Amino acid sequence: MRDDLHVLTGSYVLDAVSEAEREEFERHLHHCPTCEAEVRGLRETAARLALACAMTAPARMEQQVLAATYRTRQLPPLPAGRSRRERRRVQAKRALPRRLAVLAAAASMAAAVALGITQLTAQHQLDQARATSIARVVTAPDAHVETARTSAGGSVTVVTSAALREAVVSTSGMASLPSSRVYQVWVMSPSGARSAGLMRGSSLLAAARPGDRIGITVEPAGGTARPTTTPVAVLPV
Amino acid sequence: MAETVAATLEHQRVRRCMDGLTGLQRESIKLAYYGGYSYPQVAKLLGVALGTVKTRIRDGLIRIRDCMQVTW
Repeated sequence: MRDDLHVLTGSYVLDAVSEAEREEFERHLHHCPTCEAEVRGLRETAARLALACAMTAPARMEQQVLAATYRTRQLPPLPAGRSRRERRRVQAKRALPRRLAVLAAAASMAAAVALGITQLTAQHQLDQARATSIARVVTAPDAHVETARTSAGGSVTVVTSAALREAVVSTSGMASLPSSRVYQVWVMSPSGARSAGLMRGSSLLAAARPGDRIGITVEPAGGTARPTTTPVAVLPV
Repeated sequence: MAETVAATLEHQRVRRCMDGLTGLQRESIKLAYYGGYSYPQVAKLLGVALGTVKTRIRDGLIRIRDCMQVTW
């Protein structure tokens, strides 16, 4: 019986079960710590799926999401002289960015905490400025994304804007290092490897352009002037 | 602001992880979650057994979870 119910964890968190099944499964959860733990993880996963649904939008819509979140931009007035149906359709599209923003905000709280991009530190102002720079790159119309697994576990994502000549390097799930070691990010170009800084938290801004490569190495705490170890990841910008 | 940035990076991550699923896993999850169907309805739509759908949904979500490294 337990085996049969265990396989229901996925359907349960997606709310794809009948009312009776839901109640039965919740009773089961009370005395099945394995299922309970799995449900917790899958529930978090399902919350992040909401984001994928919300953000299947063109770059222009992403700009509108940003604007809706910050309420810093007035939308242009509805075009006059269009048919009522046309205006309703335009209004529906207007409404969408707000829903996207709400969904994005709700679902991304977990993501923000998971990615470590939050403002729970004392240097709030510095974080805000840095967050603005990161936002500019990530929502740039020419933003280009590269992702790779690292040999330290986890993965690294690099979002580059050629126009801004900047890249956001973001890591997730990489092995924790002892206090004597640190992850250092490098920008590699024909003229050599330039340090882009140490990976504190899980995201970093680097000056980089197409043709460059981003490398991450493990270095002694405090960093080094040149890479001293084989990179755990290298990816093109 | 940082939340929207995280959301955009997150979106790329979810898309990539969804691509790592089998077609049946992805379709089962899409129908169940985005389509709002119950798993028996998904089974009927996809023409597969009830147990198969339950397993695909669970396996698919586990794969996405591991791909995104949710650690709970």
